[in-house]
Amino acid sequence: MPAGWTAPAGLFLLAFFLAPLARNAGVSIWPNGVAGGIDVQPYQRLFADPFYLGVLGQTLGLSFVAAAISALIGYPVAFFMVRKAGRFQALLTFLLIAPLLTSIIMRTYGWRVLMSRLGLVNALLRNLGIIDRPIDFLGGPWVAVAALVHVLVPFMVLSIAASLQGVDRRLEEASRLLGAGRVATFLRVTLPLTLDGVGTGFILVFMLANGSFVTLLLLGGGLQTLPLLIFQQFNTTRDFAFAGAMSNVLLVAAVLCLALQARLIRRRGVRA
Amino acid sequence: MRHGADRMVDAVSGAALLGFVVVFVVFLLAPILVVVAVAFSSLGYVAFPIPSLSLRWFVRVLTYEPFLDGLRVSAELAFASTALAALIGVPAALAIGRSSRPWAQGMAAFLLSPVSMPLIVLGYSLLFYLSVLGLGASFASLLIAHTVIGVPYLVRTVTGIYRSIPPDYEEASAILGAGRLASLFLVTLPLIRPGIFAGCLFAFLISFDNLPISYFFGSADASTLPVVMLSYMQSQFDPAIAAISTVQMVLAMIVLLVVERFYGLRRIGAPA
Amino acid sequence: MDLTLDGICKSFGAVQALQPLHLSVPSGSLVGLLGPSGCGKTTTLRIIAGFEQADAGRVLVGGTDMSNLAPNRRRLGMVFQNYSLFPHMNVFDNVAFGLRRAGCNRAEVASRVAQALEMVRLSGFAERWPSQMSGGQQQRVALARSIVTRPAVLLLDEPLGALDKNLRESMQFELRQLQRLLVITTVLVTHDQEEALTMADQVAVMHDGRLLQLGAPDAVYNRPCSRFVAEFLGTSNIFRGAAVSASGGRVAVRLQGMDAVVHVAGDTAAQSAVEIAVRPERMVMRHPGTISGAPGENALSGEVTGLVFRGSYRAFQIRIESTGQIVFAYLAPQAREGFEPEMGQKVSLSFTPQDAVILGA
Repeated sequence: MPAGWTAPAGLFLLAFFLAPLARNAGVSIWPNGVAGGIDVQPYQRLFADPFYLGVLGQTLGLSFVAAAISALIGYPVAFFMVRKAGRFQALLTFLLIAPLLTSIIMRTYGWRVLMSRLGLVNALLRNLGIIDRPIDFLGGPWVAVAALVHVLVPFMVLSIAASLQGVDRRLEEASRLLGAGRVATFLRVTLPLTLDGVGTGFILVFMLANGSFVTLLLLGGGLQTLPLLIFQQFNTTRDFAFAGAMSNVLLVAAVLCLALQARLIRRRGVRA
Repeated sequence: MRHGADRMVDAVSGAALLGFVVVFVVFLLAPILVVVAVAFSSLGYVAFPIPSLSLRWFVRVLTYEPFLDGLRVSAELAFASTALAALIGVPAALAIGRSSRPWAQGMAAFLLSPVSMPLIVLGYSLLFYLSVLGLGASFASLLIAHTVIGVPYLVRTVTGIYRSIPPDYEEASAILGAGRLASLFLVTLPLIRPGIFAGCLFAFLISFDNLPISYFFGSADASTLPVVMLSYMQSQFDPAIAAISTVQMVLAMIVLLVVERFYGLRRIGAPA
Repeated sequence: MDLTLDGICKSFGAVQALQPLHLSVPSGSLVGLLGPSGCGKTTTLRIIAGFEQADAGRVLVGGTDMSNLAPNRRRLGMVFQNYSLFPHMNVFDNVAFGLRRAGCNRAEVASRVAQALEMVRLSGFAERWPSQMSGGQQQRVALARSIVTRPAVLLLDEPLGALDKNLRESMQFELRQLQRLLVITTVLVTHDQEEALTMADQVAVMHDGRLLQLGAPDAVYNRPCSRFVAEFLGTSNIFRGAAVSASGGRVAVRLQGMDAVVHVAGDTAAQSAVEIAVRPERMVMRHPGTISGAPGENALSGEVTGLVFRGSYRAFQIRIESTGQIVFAYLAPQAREGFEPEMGQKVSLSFTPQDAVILGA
């Protein structure tokens, strides 16, 4: 089909996606209009003030932890799905995708129902006589981490499963015949061949976690991240130049992740 | 003897992996199932154990005006934005689907990029941008914003399926005397229909579930269901949210089953 | 209507896919474009169909230049390699597709579809879906779809490539019969030598974007003009040598590294280096010594280094004593006359001057 057919979608995104982001970037650099000159004060505040620097670190750190946990949990699940599940593979895939049919609010709410003082976990622990006073799980950051992993781990599993599917089993058989044991074969053949899938999944989860908002708003447990701060600036402080600067930092992180991902995919393309 | 030992190791590691996957599935489903359970609670607040089953929260949801209004706005918005995204996304996907030229690759990356942007950044930037254009918080703004995030899903599934269909069908159609438009409507569109439906389904669900963008555009006469749910949750912690979430999940499952029944989601293949 | 390719050529980037090609296909005849993959045969077909634009040259059908027409205006029929039956239409709608595009009315569509399906022996299958049919049946639907519009030229792109061997052989005859019955000018693209030889009036052997030889199947097989053609169309034993004399339609060739002077039917300048080709099935094998070595008998002696049973004949691999060259001889039971050499046995090989061909450069 002619290239012109991309025009409606291309122009729509140019007008309502690229332009707003560009305008936002502009406002954060020239808060008083271009004539008013460059003002990097919002960025200075973000990168110099220990509080905001801490928020930035917490945002990236939380995303990193979520991605790392997702990879650790996701790899065995993907391995089971591709190699052992047999006719249950379709069921497992369905179970991975099914949570997407529920709203993010439902899943977040579910964690509160599980972990609140009157929630299921505290009730069970009390009935078993393990505790006699409810534990305040929601006061700490770990419920937020669990909820993030819960939302994002399916992407990791699917990404790893796709690369495991692409591994030629004969390479593993060759390794075994050459005298390598199961563990050595996994570490020296299977794992290296699927690292691309782990990497792609890691970047994807990291990127999505960076922008996650609902989970942290409702389960934050004292965590402060950039999306929450943007939300607060918008609602209360109304410092638009500063909110714009924070948005830009998130945006740059996303673009960096995308570039990294494109590199990974291109490398895989060359190898194939 | 060595044989026996190897078998033992196999059996134990296999059982361990199976156990891990079972725990994983429980982790995936628990926060969802627990919400469904709470929806049927007779208690006036969220707590365990649930003393008896009741439908009172479903009745409450069906008589609570803001929920019903939110549901209506969300449904209208999801339908309209999906239709608009399909209208501009499908032609674009057809134009870039089979081309390996650099412009097509670049355009594909551009059209897919909204899915990777932190939504809160997009929502925040778009609100100020549209306010300058005089739209502000309104249904029109919601429609624009949701179309922006819907386009990538359409483009991704349609390019995926279009690429998997050999060009022979369109060539056969041309040889048999069909012009460009006739080939498009008689051959190409019927063949890519599963991809269009899958893309529409994703775009619909994403729009229906969206909070970080809708939040910025919520107005008195047009607030989506997730926004209404969020404000309800911030003031009350009763099982009404569980009931409305359960209704929403059941609706989504019905839509999915209907689409699967008539169009066969399996035919989409793996959307790349 | 006749088809003429007038100097069409095509390159993709730096790759010259097709050297300027001249070819004419007389009305109602079938030309087989034969060659290995990448030889330019598919490019030629796609230029005829209008899917590719030639860099230069013209495509003429019945004397009219089609080069600038869109594929849908060329009035062609085509059978694709994997049939490309529309999966969302049943057999009737597939076959009716072209008629409806041409604006035929309902009654005419119905009667012509029925007629076409009858021709390919699929009456009663109109309501079936392509996915419910075997490969052979799909192939016949594709054929019906391509001829129902009475196209000026029929293009067949490896039409039988996806069928198994037995079905392929019977379809070759069926397709050929139908093509003769309808008197339809046809271009067949194939990499299968047997298919080209069986079906075509004229075989065009292509290699590296060039047309190497055009001729009737037996002429191309028995008198290949080049080493490539000789080797691509079945197995050939190639001998190098020098023409020492030529007279009366016979050339005496001294084979390189051998004492032998062999006589070959043909005409070439004396003293020039030549290659001669002899088909394995034209070789005669005898006990050593039973061949006299008289002029014209073309005897070579060697040793059996391999033999395999191939059903209707036995294939022998023989190493020529003087040069160590390996040659093949395919011998049917009656041709062996009770002589069954074993591995390692010495034998004499010979061939008649008529069975050898002098190859061009």
